[in-house]
Amino acid sequence: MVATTSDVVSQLRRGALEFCVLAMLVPEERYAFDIVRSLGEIDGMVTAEGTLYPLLSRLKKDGRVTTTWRDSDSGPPRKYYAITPAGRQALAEFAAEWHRFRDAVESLLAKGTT
Amino acid sequence: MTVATRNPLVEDYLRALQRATQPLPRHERNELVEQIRAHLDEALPPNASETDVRNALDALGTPTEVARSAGVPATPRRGAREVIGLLLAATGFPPFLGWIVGGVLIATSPLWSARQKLLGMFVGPVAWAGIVTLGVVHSTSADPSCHRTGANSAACHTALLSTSGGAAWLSITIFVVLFAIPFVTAAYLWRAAGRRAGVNALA
Repeated sequence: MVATTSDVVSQLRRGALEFCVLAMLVPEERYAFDIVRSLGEIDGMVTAEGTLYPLLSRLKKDGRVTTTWRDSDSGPPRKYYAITPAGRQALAEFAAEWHRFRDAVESLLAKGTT
Repeated sequence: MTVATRNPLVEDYLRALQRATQPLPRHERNELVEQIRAHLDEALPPNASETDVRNALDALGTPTEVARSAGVPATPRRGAREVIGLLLAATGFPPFLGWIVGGVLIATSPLWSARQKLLGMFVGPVAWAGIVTLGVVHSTSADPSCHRTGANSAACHTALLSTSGGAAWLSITIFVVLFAIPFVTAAYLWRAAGRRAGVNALA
């Protein structure tokens, strides 16, 4: 069975998504709904918002993020996610690999589509 | 609790999510359901319209999608294993081999519960044991000439049919029922497998 373009892109997206989430947490800690909504606003990033919650749980399980409950003035307490040193490390490794990969694909595509 | 979580559409969705995440460890399942509930509490204002609720639920993705992303494996559809397994187990053909091979195929399918598998594996042999017993009961209560000439002789066959009218009809009925039971069971198991596969294919 031949993989369709959308299958391939889904795989790429699935692989990159957790690092995109980690990158969002570098400037500051954020709460779950905020992360989900921001990602949802970027075209092409998330198809199903609900799938981000298992991802966040996995990041916590892997020690790449920590969570803290904080009071909020607009309702019930919120769970804030913050990146850990292990998370920063994983992100840096991914970024290096990603840049290499992206540059390679870009240059090959450029030759193939001119 | 805000208005959103008392909404029937939301409750239906969360219940479906509970079902879809059944295979997960309990604390993981509860954590995920609570996260989704909290998400909907934030996403929906207290006076949310039905359209708003439906849009928010669509944006979340189906319970199956969310469960899949949490590591719940996809259940395969009904296939050759189920068809051949049920056919062999119901017909019992080739003799004995059919039950054994059919039984193994049924036992190794992901689409049936343990109880359903036991049913599929043993209904054939048990029904046939019943039929054989019925035959033995008849040959022992038939015309003495039947014993002398052997169970397969014409005397025995006529003896079977000539036992008093009511008993003959009862025997025939029991025979038909016993014969049909494996096939009725196969049909039931086929539909049960379809339901199990369908539950995971739909939302």
